Amino acid sequence: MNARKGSPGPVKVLTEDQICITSEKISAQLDGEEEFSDAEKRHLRQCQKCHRLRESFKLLDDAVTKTLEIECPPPAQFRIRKKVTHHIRKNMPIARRPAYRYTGWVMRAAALLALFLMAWYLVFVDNPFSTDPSKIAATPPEEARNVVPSTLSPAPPPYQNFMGNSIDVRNTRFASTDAAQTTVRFTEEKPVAKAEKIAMIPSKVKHVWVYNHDLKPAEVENLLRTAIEKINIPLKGIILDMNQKGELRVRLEMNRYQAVMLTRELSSKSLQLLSSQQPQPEQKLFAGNGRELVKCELVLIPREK
Amino acid sequence: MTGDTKSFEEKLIRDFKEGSRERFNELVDIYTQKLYRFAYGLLGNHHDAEEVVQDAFIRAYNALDSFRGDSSFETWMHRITMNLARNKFHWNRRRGEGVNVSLSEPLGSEPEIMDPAVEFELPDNSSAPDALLEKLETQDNVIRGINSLPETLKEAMVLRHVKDMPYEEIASILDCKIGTVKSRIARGRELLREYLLNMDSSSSSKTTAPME
Repeated sequence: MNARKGSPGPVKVLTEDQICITSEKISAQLDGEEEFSDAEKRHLRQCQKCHRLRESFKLLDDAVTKTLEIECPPPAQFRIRKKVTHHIRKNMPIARRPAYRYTGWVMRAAALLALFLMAWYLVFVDNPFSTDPSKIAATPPEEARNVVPSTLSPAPPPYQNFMGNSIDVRNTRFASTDAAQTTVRFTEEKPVAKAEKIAMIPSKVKHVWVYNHDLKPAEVENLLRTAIEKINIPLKGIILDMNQKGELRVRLEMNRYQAVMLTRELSSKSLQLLSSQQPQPEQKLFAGNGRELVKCELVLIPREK
Repeated sequence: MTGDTKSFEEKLIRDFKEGSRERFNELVDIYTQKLYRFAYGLLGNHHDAEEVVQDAFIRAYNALDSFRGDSSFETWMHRITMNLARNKFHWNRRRGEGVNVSLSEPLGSEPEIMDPAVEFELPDNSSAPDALLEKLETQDNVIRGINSLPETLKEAMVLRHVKDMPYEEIASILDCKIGTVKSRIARGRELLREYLLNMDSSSSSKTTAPME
């Protein structure tokens, strides 16, 4: 048949083998998502363009896979983990316990109540600064528990060792005239040492006072008795020991407040305190709230001429 | 993902929802590498990849209570990472930061990179275009090429290569049809191929790994 002039030639029908494979198909086949048909396989063997395209894609795949085949560096891993852990801890929900919802208020109320009770106790029950005489108690010294009857016991035999002389002061002006109050007796004790030596004796409160030699022993005795009465210590059962030299010793129990008041009273009467331990350092002996009674010893000696 | 792994993850998530918040750390251990590679593929640099992965885990922690399990946890995590990587990419682009690949500094000079290999062995194929082969010899070129792709194509490509994911899963992450994934990957390969072939030889850096 002769082709007419101007008319198109016979249409060439491509077979399946001759149709190029799309890039999508090639790409999907490389990824295993699709398979080539037999015709496509034949075409691939024949068509340079499709073959080259497939090979390019394969190369690219290998290169990209290798490029992206990286490991997260351990420091980065550590940082990521740390940040996430911190976030978890920060946002950890707090378990709610309704039973203790009001714990704060209860604690505050309990603290206020405790403070109030403490204050009430200190003010009304056990006030360490109270001047009420009934609250300042003084128990008589243990040595003087026995009440001396108004009639004095027979005088002890004279103590030859005591300065060689003995004086029975019971019936002298040195004796107390108040019944059942003070008792004056002679003691067999060795003569009172000098003030400094006495002052060095520790273990209990010992005050050594020096009085002017123009004061008579009786006056000193009265002075001391008055001072003791002023600090609300009953004189009943108090023993005053005096020797011939005019050295007067008394033992009693008093608290810190009474010790301070007694010191002031005697000082105001021109007596001089010679103790190495002043009332202030003796605070430690008056332990607790200062109301405890401590055994004290007062020694009054005349000043040397 | 194997069945055992999946059931283990489901158990972790269940425990988390019941109050064992610290179990989330185990999920972090499982997914750090995978997500890091994915983020690196999308962003092209380690610093941004680390940041994105950190943020992805934190977001996942905050939202895990509402995770319904319609998709797998892996898919969900990849989706979160992808969104964050997109934001990061746009943010970098607005700030004028392109691909953070140094031309002068050879890859592997950072102490953190464990695998400093720059040159890798390509399969011997005499029919392969020589020009393409030459360009593929440098990782820098490949990374630059990947980052030059449009976002949608890049994401599909990276998911395919990093994760070796089936198209169906990629479609789930990208929230599109399988056919779309197929065409995106194919198109991505074409564009990458063209980019590398059209690259000026003088602008590509060719470095070799130190001889060991």
